[in-house]
Amino acid sequence: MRFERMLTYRGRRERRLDAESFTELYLALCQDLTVARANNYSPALISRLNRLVHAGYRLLYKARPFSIRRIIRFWRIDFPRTVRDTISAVILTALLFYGLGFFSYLLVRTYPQAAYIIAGEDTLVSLERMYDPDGERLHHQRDENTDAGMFAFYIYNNVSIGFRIFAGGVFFGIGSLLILIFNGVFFGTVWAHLIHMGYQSTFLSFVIGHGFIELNAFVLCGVAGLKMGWALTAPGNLSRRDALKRAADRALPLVYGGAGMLFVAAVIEAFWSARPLSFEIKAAFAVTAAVLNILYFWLSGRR
Amino acid sequence: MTDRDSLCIQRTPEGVEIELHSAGPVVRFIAFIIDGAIRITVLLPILIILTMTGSSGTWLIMLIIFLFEWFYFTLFEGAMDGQTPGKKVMGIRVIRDNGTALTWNAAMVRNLLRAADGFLFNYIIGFVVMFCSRGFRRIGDHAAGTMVVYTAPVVFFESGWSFNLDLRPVPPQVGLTVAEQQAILSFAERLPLLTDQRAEELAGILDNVNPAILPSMPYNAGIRLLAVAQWIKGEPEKGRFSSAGGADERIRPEKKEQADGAGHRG
Repeated sequence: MRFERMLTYRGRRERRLDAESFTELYLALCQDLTVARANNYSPALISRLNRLVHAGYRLLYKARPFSIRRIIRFWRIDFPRTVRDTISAVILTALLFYGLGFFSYLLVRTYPQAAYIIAGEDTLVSLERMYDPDGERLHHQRDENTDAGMFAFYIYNNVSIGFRIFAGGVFFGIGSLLILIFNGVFFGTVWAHLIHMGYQSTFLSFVIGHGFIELNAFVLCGVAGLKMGWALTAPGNLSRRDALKRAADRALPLVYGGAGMLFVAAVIEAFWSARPLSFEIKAAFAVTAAVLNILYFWLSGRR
Repeated sequence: MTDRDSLCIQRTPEGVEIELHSAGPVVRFIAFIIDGAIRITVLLPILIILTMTGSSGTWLIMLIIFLFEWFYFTLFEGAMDGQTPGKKVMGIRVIRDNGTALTWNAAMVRNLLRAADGFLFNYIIGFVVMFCSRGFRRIGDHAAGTMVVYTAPVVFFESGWSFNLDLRPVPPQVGLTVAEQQAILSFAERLPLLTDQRAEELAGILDNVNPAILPSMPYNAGIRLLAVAQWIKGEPEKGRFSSAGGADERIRPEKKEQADGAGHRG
C-alpha cells in the first residue's frame, strides 16, 4: 500500500513532496479503522489498520527535528536562564555541598586522624604519592598519549558521577544528597589531609584550574536530582507521577549543562592542570576561568 | 478486540481510537539482553584492536565504553523512533504516553534514569516498579512520560483458513457477545500458526467453560470451534461479516481472498 511506502520515507524532501497525499491517506485509514471496528470486521484486518494508523499518527505528530541551531540556543540562552530561574535551589545546594565540604576540611585540619576514617588509608596513600612535590611529579607520569587517556578517563568518571547524582534524585532526593555530600566531604578531607602532609602546593596547582567548574557542575546535577526528589515528596496539586514528569522535564537542561561543564573541566584537567607551571600562572588561569563561569551564568541569555 | 489488561486506548485528534498493548518485563528483558549482546559484540573487536595498537589507544577505548554505557540506548531510541536493535528484534517500541513518537529529551531522561532502575542488583527496582504500574512503566518511563508497546505486525492468516475438510458452518448453541465472537474469529485466523495440540488446548477451554458452545461433531475441539468460526464469519457471498460487496471500497482487496470457500489448510 502506498501509505506503507510513505511510512518508510526517510528523507525530508520525499516527505514534503508527498505530504498532501500522506494526510489524505492517513485520514482515509482512520476512517477505515473506525468502520472496521464498528462493523466487527476480521480481527486481523483491524489489527493491521490499527498498526498503520498508529504509525501514521507517530509520523504526523512528530516533534521538531534535531537542529544545530537549537543546540547553540541551548548553550547561549536556555541553560543559563534555567540556572537563573532556579537560582535559589542552586544556592541552597551549593551551600550544602561546599558547606559540608568545608566542614570536613575543618574537621580533618583539627583532627588529622579523621581523614583515615573518612577516606581510608589506601586512597590517602595513593593521593599522597600523586601530589608529593619531592616524589615523582604528576606530569612525569604522563606523556602526550596518556594526556588523552586521562581526558577520556575524566570524562567517563566525572560525567558518570554527574548522571548518577541526577538519577539518584528519583529516590525522593536521597540518592542525590548522598552522592553530593559524599563527594563534597571527600574533597574537603583530601584537601585538609594534603595540607597536613605539606603537599598543598602541588595539589592546589593541579586542582584550581578545573575544580570550580567541575564542582559547580556537580551542584547543578544535584539541583536537577533534588528537583525530582522534591516533586515526589511534595507534589503540590499534581499527582506524584505528573509532578515527577514535569520536574524531570525542567531539570534536564541542568543535566545537559552539567555534562557540558564536566566536559570542559575534563579538557582542562587533562591538558592543563598537570602542567608544571608556576603557581601564579595557574592561579591566574583559575581565577579567569571562575570569573568567566560566573559571568556566563549571570549575563548570558539576558535580553 | 477483546480487552486485555495491557491494553491502552489512545484517542487521536482525528477521532479514531488506537489500541496500544504495553509490553511486559519479560519481552523488555529479552530485548535488553539482545542489546547487551550487540554491545559486547561490537565492543570486543574494537577493544582488541585498540589494545593491540598500544597505549595510544586507551583513551579511545574509555571514550567508546563511556558512550556505549550511557548513550547507546538514547541514541538508538532517539534516532530510530523508539527502537534499539534489541527492541526491533522483539517487536516493541518506546512511545510517549499520548501515543506519539519518542522525543530526544524523553529518550535522554528515561535512559539516564536507568541508573536508578538498575541501582540495586540488576534492574530489580525497575521490575518491581513495572509490576506496580499501569502500562509496565519503570522509573525512567514514569519520569519521561513514556511507555513500551508492541509494534510488530501480528501474523494472521486472513485468507487461509478455509479447510479441505467438508466442514459445514455450525451455529453456536449459546448466544455469544460480539467480543466473544471476535475471539473465536481470532482463533480461526491464527489456527494455521498453532500446532494441533495447542489448538486443542485452546478450544478445550471452551468445553470446560460451557460445553454447549461447541457443536457435537466427530472431530477435535479445534475443528469444532472452527466450524463455529466459519458460521460467525458468514458465507463468502452473503452474511454480515463479509465485505465482498460491502460499502467500503478500500477494504475490499484484503477480503477478496476469503471469497473462495475451499483452499487447503495453511
